[in-house]
Amino acid sequence: MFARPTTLRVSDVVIRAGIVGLALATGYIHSTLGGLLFTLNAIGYVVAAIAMIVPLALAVRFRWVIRLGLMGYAATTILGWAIQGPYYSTAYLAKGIEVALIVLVAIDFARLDGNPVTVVRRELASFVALISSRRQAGAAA
Amino acid sequence: MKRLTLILGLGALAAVLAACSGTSAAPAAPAGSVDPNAIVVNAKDLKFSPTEVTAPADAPFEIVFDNQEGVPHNIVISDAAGTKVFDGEIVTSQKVTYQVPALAAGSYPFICALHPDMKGTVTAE
Repeated sequence: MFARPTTLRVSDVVIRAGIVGLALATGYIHSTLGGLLFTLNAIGYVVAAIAMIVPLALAVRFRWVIRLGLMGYAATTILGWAIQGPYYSTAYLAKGIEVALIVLVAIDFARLDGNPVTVVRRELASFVALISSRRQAGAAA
Repeated sequence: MKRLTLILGLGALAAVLAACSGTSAAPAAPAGSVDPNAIVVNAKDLKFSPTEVTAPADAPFEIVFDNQEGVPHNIVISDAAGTKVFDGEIVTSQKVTYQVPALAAGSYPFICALHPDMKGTVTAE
């Protein structure tokens, strides 16, 4: 259930701490804004921050999905704000944090996972291989 | 890789600094010497109170906006076509006075920019 201890470098830990800090910061800002949408957005950031560091084997195995998801989540939040506003100081601060968050997650992804296109291709290939092996096993039984 | 990291980091810092400047809403004055005929609108529990207010047509007027909770709110007034005619400064736990420009006779919906479910109507007559 729990992943084996990994050999993260100090810089990896610093980047990961930055990601968690920024995600919690923008989550906190959204939690102070009231209303269902902002509250759900805040919860999403807290869940993502936990998912970025939780030492469960499943989370470690699919950390690349969490990274892509967090970047997409932050980008969607920024896009939604850009369309709808409101444009005021706290919102600008939150969006600045989210831009920095996307950059840090992208750096983390590049350092630990490599090229995202290659990662997605590799994972798709392993998924297809898994399905085919199960089909073959089913046919043989 | 180090150079890319540095560039991305500086870009993020620049974005944060650029993002922290300025607002576009009409500035509000702290509620001090207020017109006795000013309209008073309160915000509490994600609702406006009252939701129906009346203002003089074709003359500027004041709205004393009292946000009574720790959640940011403001008042945005639009015309029937949905065009913003007034966009008040967003405030938290604060009473402010908005200077609203003259409105032609008619009905104008208003909302909170952050919480569009908070609704009311200004009738200019």
